[in-house]
Amino acid sequence: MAAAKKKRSAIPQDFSALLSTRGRKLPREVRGPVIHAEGLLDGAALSGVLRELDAQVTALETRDVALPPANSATAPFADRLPLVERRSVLPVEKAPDLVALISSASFHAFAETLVGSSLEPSPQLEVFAFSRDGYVGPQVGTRGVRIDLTLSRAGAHQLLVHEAEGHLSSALAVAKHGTVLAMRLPHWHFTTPLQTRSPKDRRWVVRATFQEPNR
Amino acid sequence: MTRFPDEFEALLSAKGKRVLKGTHPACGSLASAPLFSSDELFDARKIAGLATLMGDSFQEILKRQVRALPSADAVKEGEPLPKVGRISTTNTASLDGALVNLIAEAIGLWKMVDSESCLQFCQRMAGQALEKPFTKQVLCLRPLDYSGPHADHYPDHPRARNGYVDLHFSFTTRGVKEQFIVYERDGHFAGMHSIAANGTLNMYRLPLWHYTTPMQAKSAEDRRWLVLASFLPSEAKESLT
Repeated sequence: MAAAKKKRSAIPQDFSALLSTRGRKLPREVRGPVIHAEGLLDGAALSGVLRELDAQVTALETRDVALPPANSATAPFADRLPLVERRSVLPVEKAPDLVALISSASFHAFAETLVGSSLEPSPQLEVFAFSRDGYVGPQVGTRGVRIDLTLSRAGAHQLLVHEAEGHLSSALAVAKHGTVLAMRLPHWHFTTPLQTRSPKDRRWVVRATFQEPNR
Repeated sequence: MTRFPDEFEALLSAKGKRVLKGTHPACGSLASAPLFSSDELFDARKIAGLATLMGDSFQEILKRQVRALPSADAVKEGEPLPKVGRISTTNTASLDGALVNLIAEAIGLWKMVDSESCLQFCQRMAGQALEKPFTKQVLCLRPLDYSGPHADHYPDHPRARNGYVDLHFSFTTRGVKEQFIVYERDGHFAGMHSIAANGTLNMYRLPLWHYTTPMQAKSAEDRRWLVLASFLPSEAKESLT
């Protein structure tokens, strides 16, 4: 009996296969600490990746760090909020195709063009998902340049609030399918709880963190 | 409009008046949820000029209260975030605070907040007897103003340290487009409501972790005027009628 033919993954080995026409023509410019762009990725190609990720839901590992008691402050206005979060992480070993994707030369070139600076090769991959009401609390993050690709169903809403002029005063809607977010860390930021149409919908984030030479 | 009505009830919509009567489904909601939010409890026609009245009355007096972020380069990963924010208000114990109180009295704001119908409204929502407010405050948000995560716990207050109830209502200029309050639910920042609409009313059971996202508005002149009153549970053995 012939062995069952392995189904071909919808996750391409080369990142350029995910780029839209606009994404291929991105000019290289020096930009600020946070870059938020839509329309750079091909929606149909990305939907194939989303289906692959949705098939991995059972492999997700919950990361749940709750708020401290509300009466924990020892003086008025002395609140100190540790890192809190609620999301699910896909172990990297469950995503070999995504490792290949973000390790591709075309992704490295895309990332350098997007942020306008040179980046070391071999980014670190993280894949995680926010379910409804999932979020990450305020933090500065690990040093590096982070590129987040969002994969989601229609109707998802989540804000990334980040530092601008010393305050948490800039807000970006980041849950739309195909959104690309780049952020140079450390930089204060957090996300609001994910709002979805269906309780089962998720916002998947494929995150690549690069290091910059001489930083 | 040049002054607030004497009674809180006079600003309420039909739905708001149902709260007073105890027939609105939200009555007693603070017994099971820490925060209630609605933009349907005030009568839109009756509050139409109140953002202008607040601006004319308080614009020149309130002071910027700014608590900036610690430098991201100076903090270690995972280091706790202190209370940060940017808002206009006054310290109630200061001379400016006294002036705010004088103006709030002159335009009838404090009389309305101290009115029987306001207390009755808050008691209905809280599902318990409350005392008259022990603190009243006027705040103003400009575009991109916000309050960072905090819980409003006052461990030095002999009674509020054990919990209290807050009433917040706001009047906004037309260009205010978006602001959310995010609050603790089941141990996480999982609750979220829009607070940008004119006449939004929030009630909280505090302390409670919460924050607001930066206010988005069409123009730099847009404002969200916020009136805040804090109530302690009644120590008398009263029951709601």
